[in-house]
Amino acid sequence: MKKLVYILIFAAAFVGGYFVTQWLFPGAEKIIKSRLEKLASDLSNNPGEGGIKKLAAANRITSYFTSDVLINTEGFGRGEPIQGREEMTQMFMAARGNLRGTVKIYDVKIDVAPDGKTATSNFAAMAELQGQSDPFVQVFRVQWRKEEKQWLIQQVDPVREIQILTQ
Amino acid sequence: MDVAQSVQKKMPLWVRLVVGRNPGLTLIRTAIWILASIILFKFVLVPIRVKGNSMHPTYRDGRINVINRYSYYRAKPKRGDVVGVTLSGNNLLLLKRIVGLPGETISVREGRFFINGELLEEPYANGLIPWTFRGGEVQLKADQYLVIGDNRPLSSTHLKFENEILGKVLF
Repeated sequence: MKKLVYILIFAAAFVGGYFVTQWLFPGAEKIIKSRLEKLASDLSNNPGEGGIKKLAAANRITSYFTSDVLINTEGFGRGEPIQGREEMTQMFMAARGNLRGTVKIYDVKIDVAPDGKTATSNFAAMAELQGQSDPFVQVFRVQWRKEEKQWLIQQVDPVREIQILTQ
Repeated sequence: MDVAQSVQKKMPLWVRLVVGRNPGLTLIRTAIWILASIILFKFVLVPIRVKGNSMHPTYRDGRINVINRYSYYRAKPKRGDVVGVTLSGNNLLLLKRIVGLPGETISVREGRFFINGELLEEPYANGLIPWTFRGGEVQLKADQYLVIGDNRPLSSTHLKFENEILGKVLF
């Protein structure tokens, strides 16, 4: 009986230790997923939010991207890609002034390179904008780079299964 | 008088109504029902709520429906079937109608689909397609389907492999 209790205590300590280690030292996948969720939250622009909260969220946006970030916008009514953090920030601030809504991400898949310095994530994003009956849904492929112990977005590409031309 | 009868007599009516005459058996029965429901609604019938109007007028915004994951267990998906397709995983599904089948060549002319050069009659379609394929037409690969919503001006088009079709809507 005593032996069984010891085994149970050891097993509980082992499981507890595992979760504590995971919490203290999260893996790259967990960090990237968490950053994507925070980015989605910061991109959301709800009318009920206070001005300070909105400004803080807008300021945080740049911290998710590398200085040479490339965002491909093919199929979004803009032929040229967005290049660099400054251009991205300007575009974002302009869009945020006009758009209200929430952004959510689903089904995040992350693949970290063997060197641990780059990673690729695939996920579906859904934006529900005020005044629009249909949510905007798009799958994105995002390339990440580790800079000064931080995972930053280096490139964003919308995943297109089919190429269409608007008439 | 045996033990079960004496227990029954001591139990107040409301307790018997809630947990039954034999609480142990009720617990087992409840556990089986919960397990069966989880299996049924996670692996067989997936409940969904329609968001948006891309399937209007067939399915309206907010409507509740169910996707049968085993609808294509024996048969292949057919043209005209309304199916749930995955995007990046199973948590966000799109409700679309199958228009193109594997191996077919599909083009869009004057807002309508042409399958292998023949006009596709679509009584369910609302409006005309406001685009064409880049390159004029699309050749579907083996095991690849073309899906689109019924509300053509609003709907996006997708090429999906059979494993990306979660199942057919029930009603």
